[in-house]
Order: sequence, then structure tokens, then C-alpha cells
Amino acid sequence: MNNNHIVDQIFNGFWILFGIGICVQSIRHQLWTPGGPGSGFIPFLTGMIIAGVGIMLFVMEGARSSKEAGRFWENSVAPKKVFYLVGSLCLMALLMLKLGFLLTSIVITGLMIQVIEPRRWIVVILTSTLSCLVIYCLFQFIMQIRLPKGLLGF
Amino acid sequence: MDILHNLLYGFGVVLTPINLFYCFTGCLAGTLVGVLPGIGPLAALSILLPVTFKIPATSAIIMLSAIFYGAMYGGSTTSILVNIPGEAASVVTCLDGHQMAKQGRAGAALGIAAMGSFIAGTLSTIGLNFFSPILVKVALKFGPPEFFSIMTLAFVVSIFMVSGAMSKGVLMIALGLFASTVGMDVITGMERFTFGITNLSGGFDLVAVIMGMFGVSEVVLNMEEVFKREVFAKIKGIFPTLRDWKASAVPILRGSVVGFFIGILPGAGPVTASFLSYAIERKSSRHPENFGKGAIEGVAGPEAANNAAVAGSMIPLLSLGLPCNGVLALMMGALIIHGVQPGPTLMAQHPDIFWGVIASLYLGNLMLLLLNLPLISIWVQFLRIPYWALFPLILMLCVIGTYSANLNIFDVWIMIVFGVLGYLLRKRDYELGPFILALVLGPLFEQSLRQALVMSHQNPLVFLTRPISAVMLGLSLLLVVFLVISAVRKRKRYSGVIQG
Repeated sequence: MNNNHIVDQIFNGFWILFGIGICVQSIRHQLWTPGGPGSGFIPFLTGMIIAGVGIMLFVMEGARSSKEAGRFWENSVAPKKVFYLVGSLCLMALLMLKLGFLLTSIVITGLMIQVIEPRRWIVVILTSTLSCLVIYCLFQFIMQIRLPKGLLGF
Repeated sequence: MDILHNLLYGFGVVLTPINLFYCFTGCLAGTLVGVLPGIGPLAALSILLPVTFKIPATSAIIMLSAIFYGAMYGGSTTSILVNIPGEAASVVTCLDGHQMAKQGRAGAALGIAAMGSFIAGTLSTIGLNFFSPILVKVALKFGPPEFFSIMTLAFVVSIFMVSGAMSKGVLMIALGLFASTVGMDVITGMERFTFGITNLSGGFDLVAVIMGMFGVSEVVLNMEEVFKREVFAKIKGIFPTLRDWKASAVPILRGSVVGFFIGILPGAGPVTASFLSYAIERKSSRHPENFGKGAIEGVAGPEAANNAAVAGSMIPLLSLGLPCNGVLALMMGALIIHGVQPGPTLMAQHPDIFWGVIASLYLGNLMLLLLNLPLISIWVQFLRIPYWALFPLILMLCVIGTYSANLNIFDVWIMIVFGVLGYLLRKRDYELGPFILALVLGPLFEQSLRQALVMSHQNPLVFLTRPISAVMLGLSLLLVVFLVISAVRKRKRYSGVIQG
């Protein structure tokens, strides 16, 4: 899975299926009407192009040796970092409305730093609290954007 | 004389303390936005849009315009020093600007970028000022076939600019066009590809997609190689040498002209202008092999072009009510919120806005030169913040920027999805520029195609019988032929090397 050749072929296979899927769905939206192109016309064209280019890339990549391709992730830490980062963002999206922006952002920022680029706890807490407070004040009070308040009211 | 009289009136509008303050604030915010990677002008404008609700319409538009061209100035700083474009129009500046920084010429690169931007910004504002009546007359002749053809040309040009495989560029255009069709079809009212998700009825939120594709994916990519990240913070000799000026003078002038005219064309904008300028400089250079290795022309031309395009792109917005790109669409939204209808009547009904904005472009360019050159060392300090402290900050800004646009958490989820998609695509050398271009232009492209076919009773020859449209399509065809020939040649050379 960590070989670029395999990743590329997965990508190409996905393009083919995705393109076909778009075409099938587009037909349901009507390709042509008596007045001209229907709602499905442009999506159908894009689906054809995506599937067509996907097939072309699949064939071209298939002719290439997998030994030529490099690794998708250079080291074993990289996928973990990506996973943690995306996971933190998902957590942020899940908790922001319930706990409020300020609290969620301080906790998530602190966790992100500690898990991805570990530092001393005091540095992490200070950095996350200060940076989130600055952002919060800037957006909430200066720009007057209504940020989620959550259960605690801030 | 009328133009001069009107311009003086515009200066009268902008030279009031309140408008000067908003112009300066916009320039400052724009530069900061341009400098900070992961937050572009579109995100900044959408974040600051609610702030403008409480200020007069003229001040609001002056500030939003200043953010727009301020970001074009600031974007070059991160491109040159960190190899991360502060905004999409600075992508090409990375190619040679960062190489110059690696060779110890960061100062010269930053200097020529700032001065080129100033010269081009001023020249294109003069152009906007004096030639707008003529250009507006031409632009008024544009109907759906012309819009369609111009956007086709913009797509072909964006494929032309892709540095990797051309096929991947085509795929990105198609993917962007498809993404633009998600949501309600404005012509038939039919919902497409929403799968019952009501939040998708209005389509993908542009801010969320851009934040995800550029902001989040950038952070994720950087996290992998965080220790390889080089910031060239030692900057010497900001003022370019005579040799640098000799090499850059023509590219700056050429970039100004290209940027101005590309800016006027609906569908194009600073991103297309900078890419096109880079391609022109590379093709017209005696040493094209130096491009990508630190050629100053590769910095001067595109930086001039993207700034010139800002003034150019104001023409269709102010005179036709036609936004050329996402940033201008947001500005148009701001005008409408203030009860001002952009279009041909704007000049007559709201001369304070029309001429005030034009005059503010002159002033803003001067402010930006003063902000950027002597204070470059201060802007660089933002790049000295360690990445472990910066990345959560960028992500939080992305989250707030996305959320505050519609106060909808669903957009944050969209941002995350597009962030992951952008990361995977960039890892496998798919360029995101064509995708965003197609996503922004998609709705107008589709609408133009359908309207053109309806008005011609489904006769596709309508695109060839109208001169402007025919010329644009002819140019597109020429570029496609050129692209195919060079791809075939490249492939033959490659297989020759393998066999040899």
C-alpha cells in the first residue's frame, strides 16, 4: 500500500468508477431537453472525461514497473501525523458547537501539538491558550463574528 | 478631461480620514493574509465581510479591494522565503523566487516582486482609469457564447500551466467542473448530486473548499516534512541591482499588460494572469532553461501580472456587475448587502464608490510599497514562528474562516473532506489550481453554454459565427494542438531514453 504505483492505480481505478458513477447519475438528471442541454449535460461530460482520463492513466501506469515508483510515505511517522491531524479536526467539528469555540480550540490545539510535535506540557498549554485567546478576541470582539458559545457560554 | 475630473472626485472621496483608515487597514490585513500561508484573500475577505456590514458601502469596498491587492503583494513573501504560496496567484512565484532565496538572493526577489507589483498596479490602474470606457464597450458585446469561449480558453491555459502530466490537469478541470454542478441547477431548479443532504443544495461552499484544498492540505503536507522546512529569514539587499532591473524591466511591463487584459476577461483573474505571464516569459526568454532555477524574470513577470489583474478585474465587476472570480463574487455580495447594485448604472448612481475605489487603488499601491519594502523584516518575523506553534493556528483560522462564512458546521466538514482530498491529490502530483479555477467558473461556464445553445436554437455554430468567441476558441484549439504535440514528443523522448 505504501508503493506509489499501487496508490496511483487505486487513484486511477477510483477515477474510472467515479466517472462512470457521475455519468449514470447524470442520465437521471436529463442530458438534453427540447430547449437545449439539461441539468445532467455538463456533469455527464465531466464524468466522461474523468472516466476517460482515469482509463488512460490506468493503462499508462500499468505499463510501468512498480519498482520505478517511490514510497507514498517516506517514514512510518508520517501516516500517524496525518491521521492525528485529521482526527483532531474532526473532533473540533464535533465538539465546537457543544463546548464552544474557545474551550474546544484550546483543548484541540494543545492535543494537536502534544501528539504531533511533543513539547513540555507547560509550553503546550501556554501556546495553545494564548494563541486561541488571541484568535478568539480578534474574531469575537474586534471582528464581531458570532463564534459558537457552547454549554459554558463562551 | 471628464476622466481627470472624475478621478479628482475619487481622490476627494478616498482622502477622507475614515476611508484612508479603511484603505490602510485593508492593505495591512491583505499583506498579513498574503504572508501567512493557509489563508488566502478569499478566506480573508469572507472572514472580514461581516465586519464591513457596519461601515459605509464606499469604505467597505475600499477596504475589501485593499485586502485583495494587499494579499497579491504579501503572497510573494511566503512564496519566496518558504516555498509556500500565501495565495493561489503566487504559486508560480515559488518556482523561481524560492530558488533565488536558496541562492542567497531572497532580498532581490522580494524587492523586484514588490516594485514590480507597485509598477504594474499603478500602470493597470491608469489603464483602468483611461481605457475603461472603451473596454466596457467591448465587454458589453459579450453574450453567452463569448463567455463560454473565454472560459474555455481559461481552462486550456490552466492545463498549459500544469507542470506535471497534462492528463492530470484535464482531470482536475473536469473534477472542478463536476464539483461546481453539485447543488441546485439555477436554470431548472433541479437538485443534482446532493443525495438528500439539504446543506448541499447551494453547492459546495467555495470558502470551505479553498480552505480545505489549500489551507488544510498544506498543513498536512508540511507536517510530514516539518524539519525540512527552510525559511530564508536573512534578507540582504532588498533593492534590486541594475542588472536585476535590466532583466526585469520588460517582464514587468509585459506582465502589467498581460495581467491587465487577463484581469478584464471574465473568468480569468490574477491566478491565470500570473501563470500566463510565467509561460510567456519562459517562452520568450533566451535562456528558458534557467526558469525554475532562480530566474528573476520568473518572479518579476508573474508578480506584476497578478497585481495588474486586480485593477483589470475590477472593470467587469464595477461596470457590468460581473465577478470574474471568487474574491470579486464576495465583493459583489458586499455591494448588494449595502444596497448597491453593481452594473452599468453604478458609475452614474454611485460615483463615490466607482471613482473612490479607483482612486484608492492608486493610494493603496503606494501604501503597500511603503508597507512591504522597509517593513519586510517585520513580515518575515511571522515566518519565524516555529511550525509546531503555527500549524494549529493556521488550522484554527481555517476552521473559523470556514465556519464564519455561513455560521454552518457542515462547511467545516466539507473543509476537512477537501483537505484530505487535496492532500492525497498533491501527494500524487495533481495540481489544484485548475480544480479551483473550474470550480469558480463552473456555474457561469455551464450557464453560458446552455444559454448560448438556447438562444441559437441548439446550433453549436453560434460559437464560431461570433468573432470574439471564434477567436477565443481558435486560440484554445491552437493551445490544445501545441499541448498534444509536446506531450507526444516528450513521450517519444522518454521511451527513447528507456530503450537506449
